[in-house]
Amino acid sequence: MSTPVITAWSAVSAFGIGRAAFDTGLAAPVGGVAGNADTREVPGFDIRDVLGPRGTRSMDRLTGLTLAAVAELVGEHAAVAEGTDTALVLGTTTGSAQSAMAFTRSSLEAERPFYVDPAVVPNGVMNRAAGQAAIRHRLIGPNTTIAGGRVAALQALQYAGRLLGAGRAGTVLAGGVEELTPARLWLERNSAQGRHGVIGEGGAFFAVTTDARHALADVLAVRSLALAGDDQEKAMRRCVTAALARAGVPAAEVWAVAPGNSTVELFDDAVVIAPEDRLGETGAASGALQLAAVLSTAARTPGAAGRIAVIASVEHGAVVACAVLRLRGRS
Amino acid sequence: MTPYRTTDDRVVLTGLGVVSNIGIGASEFAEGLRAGRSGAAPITTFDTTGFAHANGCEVTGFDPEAVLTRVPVDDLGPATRFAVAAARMAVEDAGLDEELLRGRRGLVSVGTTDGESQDLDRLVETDVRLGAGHRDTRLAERIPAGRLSSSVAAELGLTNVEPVTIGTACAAGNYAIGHGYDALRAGEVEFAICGGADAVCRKTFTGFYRLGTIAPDHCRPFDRNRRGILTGEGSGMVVMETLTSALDRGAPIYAEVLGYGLNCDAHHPVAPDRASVARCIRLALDDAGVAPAEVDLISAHGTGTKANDVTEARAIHDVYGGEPPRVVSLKSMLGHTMGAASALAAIACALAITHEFIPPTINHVETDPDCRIDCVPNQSVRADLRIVQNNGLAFGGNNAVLILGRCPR
Repeated sequence: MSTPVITAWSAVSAFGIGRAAFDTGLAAPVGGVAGNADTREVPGFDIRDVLGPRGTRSMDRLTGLTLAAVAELVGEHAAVAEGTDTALVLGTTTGSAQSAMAFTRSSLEAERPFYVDPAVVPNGVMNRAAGQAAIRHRLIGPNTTIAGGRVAALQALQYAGRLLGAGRAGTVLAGGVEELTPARLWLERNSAQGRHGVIGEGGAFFAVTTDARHALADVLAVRSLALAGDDQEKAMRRCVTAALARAGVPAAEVWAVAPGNSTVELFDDAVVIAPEDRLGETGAASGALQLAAVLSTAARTPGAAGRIAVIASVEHGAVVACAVLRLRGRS
Repeated sequence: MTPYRTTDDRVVLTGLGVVSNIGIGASEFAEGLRAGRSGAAPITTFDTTGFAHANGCEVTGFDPEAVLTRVPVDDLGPATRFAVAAARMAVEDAGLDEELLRGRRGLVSVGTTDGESQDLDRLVETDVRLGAGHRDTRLAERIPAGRLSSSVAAELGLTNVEPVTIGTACAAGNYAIGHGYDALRAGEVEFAICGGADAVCRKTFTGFYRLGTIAPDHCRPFDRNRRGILTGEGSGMVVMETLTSALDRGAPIYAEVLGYGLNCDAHHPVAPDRASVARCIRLALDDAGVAPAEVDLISAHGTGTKANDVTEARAIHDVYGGEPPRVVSLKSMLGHTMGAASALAAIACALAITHEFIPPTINHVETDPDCRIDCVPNQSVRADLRIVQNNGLAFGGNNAVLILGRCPR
């Protein structure tokens, strides 16, 4: 099968909405992000302002962020939404925990347990955001939600490659999204990986296809591996080594690495790209925002074309994942 | 049928693991299916005070401590416990040695609707009863839905597997099995442990109740007087490998995965779309290289709601013309086990092929003339099944249809 390529991308983050805001924010030396001391949020993200009044009355933040990211991508790359074989693959942690919990709370506090708002029932289901993105853009190909936390976006990229390889889609819109809500914050603060540090939100989407004409990067390999009690650094070394072998690239050739929350050895001289230093820990969006940062950095770096980048992520105590890309530089 | 495929290119089911409300383990499950057992009973998972009716299909007699050997049970949410136990059973059923598995590259994919929503419900119940600040913080680590698959790997000690949790609601089991099929055919893995899991929760029961789709007593798919679903729980997991691998180790083969189809209605958040469901069936049949006339049985999504059953039956008629094969709904027995539903149904199809019977659609009185199908009412029948179609339809318009076949011996 031919190598999957990324032909377009979009991002919604503490830098703002859209690729231009992301490019500008990432290139700026410091600051440029919204939030409190220990949180980062997408600035001014009012769902109705961003997406309009239609169909947004009962929409939750996760779906709003997803639709904003997908709309930016489709806007940039209108061809992706046409045809019957465009798929959408969304990485998540567990959907909108906020919506699920708010719904249960409304049942427990109502005079009768079923005096609840029927319009928000689907918000509590994990595939809500992906399904709504399909409706909005008439995406009738496979529509898949991958729940993997911090490795979800890289797993979505891997899944996208399989859909293309099996001929189940011609183009896949793949990405990861996370919302900053009280429910998410509680879950993060009571988990080992989110106990400390800055918690952020956002998302990024990528058009993935096998048509290399407008390629920004070749997706040479994506791997994810279970920890199953193994040491995290050791597992990541195995994961990266396997992915590089699959890509046919020696470690010494790696130009840039986006290690995310992981410790990746093997690349002493590589440029380190770390959007999380500014955007915070963005959960299921993290791998997607790291990938966006790699593409953004490559686009403004002379000589990046043809070079190799590695993106890595860890879901603490559970799974490690990485992707190996060959950058095509500015198109 | 598919003469161009080599044994490396063919994928078979060699192990079945079941945690269900009509039986634990593949043989008890098969007995339950043949007997037309019902999993329905009053819900005990949460306080149902205030609901006019609250039957469900909960798993009883399941002791995770007796099955799990590595991962502490308290570290797992209820849905993950089901998934991990079913996966362990599937591996044992396949006669696979864990040491041997550890040396091979694999995929674990688990579909789910709600993940650990029962744990989220518990957090909220604590908030409402005791006020903020009393939550059990130990639940935080086990709530992310990725745990459903990564815990399977942890329990089996598998470090060379890719664990993926697929959250495509009530079609997720078929999605997960399809993912394993693609990974195996691409030669990217040597085995796959796939299926689905969910646990009964207040959130989902209340949502369906509010939408007027919870049956007052029993689930009666395709019946003129059907009143809706009963929420259920459990897990079905299968071991998949290539035909080459199964033949090499002399493994028993339940069924072959002939292909599958995925699509999205992109039309309505909760109502199924007839044309889109028909398109998904055609995608699956084409993928399998099977003509409609070759299909001997359809395991329907068959939720027992007014809208689903008539829409699904019409979509089947659209593809099959006037003469569809028999169409049964496992949900009459199991209730709607959400992300586990199409996985348990796939296992039921594999058992039906192996043991030459068709599980019945129970609680059936009078077939809805708008559905016009033979749903094999109330009594299982003997049948020689070569090809079976398993439908999974979900909220969000996420459809997944799986085609299984008898593997020639």
